[in-house]
Amino acid sequence: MEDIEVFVPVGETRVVGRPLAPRLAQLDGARIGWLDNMKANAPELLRNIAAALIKRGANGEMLFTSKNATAAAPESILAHLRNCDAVVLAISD
Amino acid sequence: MSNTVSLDPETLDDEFEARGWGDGLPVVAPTAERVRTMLSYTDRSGDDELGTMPPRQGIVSIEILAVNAVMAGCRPEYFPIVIAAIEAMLDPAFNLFAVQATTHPCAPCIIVNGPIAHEVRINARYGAFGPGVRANATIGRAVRLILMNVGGATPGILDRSTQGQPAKYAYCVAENEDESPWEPLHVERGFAATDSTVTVTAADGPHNLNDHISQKPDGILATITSGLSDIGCNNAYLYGQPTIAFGPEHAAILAAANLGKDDIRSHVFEHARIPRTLWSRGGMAGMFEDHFPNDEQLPILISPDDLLIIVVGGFGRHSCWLPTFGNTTRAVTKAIAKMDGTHVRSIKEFFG
Repeated sequence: MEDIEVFVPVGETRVVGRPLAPRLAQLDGARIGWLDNMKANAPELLRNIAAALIKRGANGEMLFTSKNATAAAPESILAHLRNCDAVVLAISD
Repeated sequence: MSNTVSLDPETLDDEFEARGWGDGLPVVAPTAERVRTMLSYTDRSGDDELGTMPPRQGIVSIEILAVNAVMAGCRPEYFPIVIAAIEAMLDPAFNLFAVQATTHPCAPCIIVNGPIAHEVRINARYGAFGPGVRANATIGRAVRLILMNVGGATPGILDRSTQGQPAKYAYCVAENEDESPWEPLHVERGFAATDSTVTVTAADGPHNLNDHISQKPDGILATITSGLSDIGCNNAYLYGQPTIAFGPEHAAILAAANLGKDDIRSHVFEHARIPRTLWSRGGMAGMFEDHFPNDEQLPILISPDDLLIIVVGGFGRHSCWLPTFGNTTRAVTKAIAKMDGTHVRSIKEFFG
């Protein structure tokens, strides 16, 4: 049977580039935000990362906060985290 | 044809499956002629875009919607309904990204109201949530194909639903307005009765509410509220907008006692509650320990107004409810309309 020409059903994508945030020059004095998605393992993961960073010299303020796993973080949380020098996000399930 | 491949029609389904295009069922080949015919049922150009669809961020052109509608087996007159459903799902309030990617089994349920539901013969009566009618089956399937092909909701990849559910194949129903004693859903939501609309809600499959015994509202409402008091559904801890789809017989008993939709909403808000003692034994309460009101009987709605009520089905004393993903997705209603926003009363209006 002869081939037929058919449309590709997935189309193109349009992905907005999201470059990595600048790396911290040093941990000393850095204010670090911690955001978890309220699922069981996320806070544990963040606590362990925080402990590792403290061992490596992190000694600044740490802000721990949580967001609902079913939606993007609301502006109130984002505004809070914008005051940080770095933010660590844990998404778990 | 802009983005095409040449395939042997005998092996087309195998090729599509190998490339990850589709829902696992055989498809209608999306040829240029078929896609052109589908596009003739809208006044939009194939190049028009509705946005991008998460999580893949596929570009939602009218042409790609037509391609998938052809694959699903849609009659061309269904196409304006498919477009309206996708527009509704792309509304930020629907939170499609989360609906697509969650471990929860939710699927967008498409509820069609107004004269066009009749015109294209969407089933609103016996077995309306089930198989047997091409409009329900293929409109629902077209939406699923778009969610998978354009949105990238492939199970286990970007669709992380733990178990999925059968309604992810197709989930389209019309409200049985003819046998409803109440105002139809789209009128409640601000549209004219002569408008035709699509409402989307991110729902579990229908949960049956069977009561063939009760002859009075108290009994039926007890059955309803017992069914909704479900610690395992997302609404129990995330609230949101569940739907009750009353069978016409249950609706008639309630209406005969002069109970309107708002009366039912108030009753459900007050009585569909979960004892705090049950939350202490299981469920998701631990996720939001400070979130619950300090009551011993905890509601499944933030507000009575959040309960959607429709009438669906034929004879027989069954109703059902559609739990949802939670309060971070809201039901969205869009009119079936021309590109300039003019609401249409008939599919024929797309031909001038």
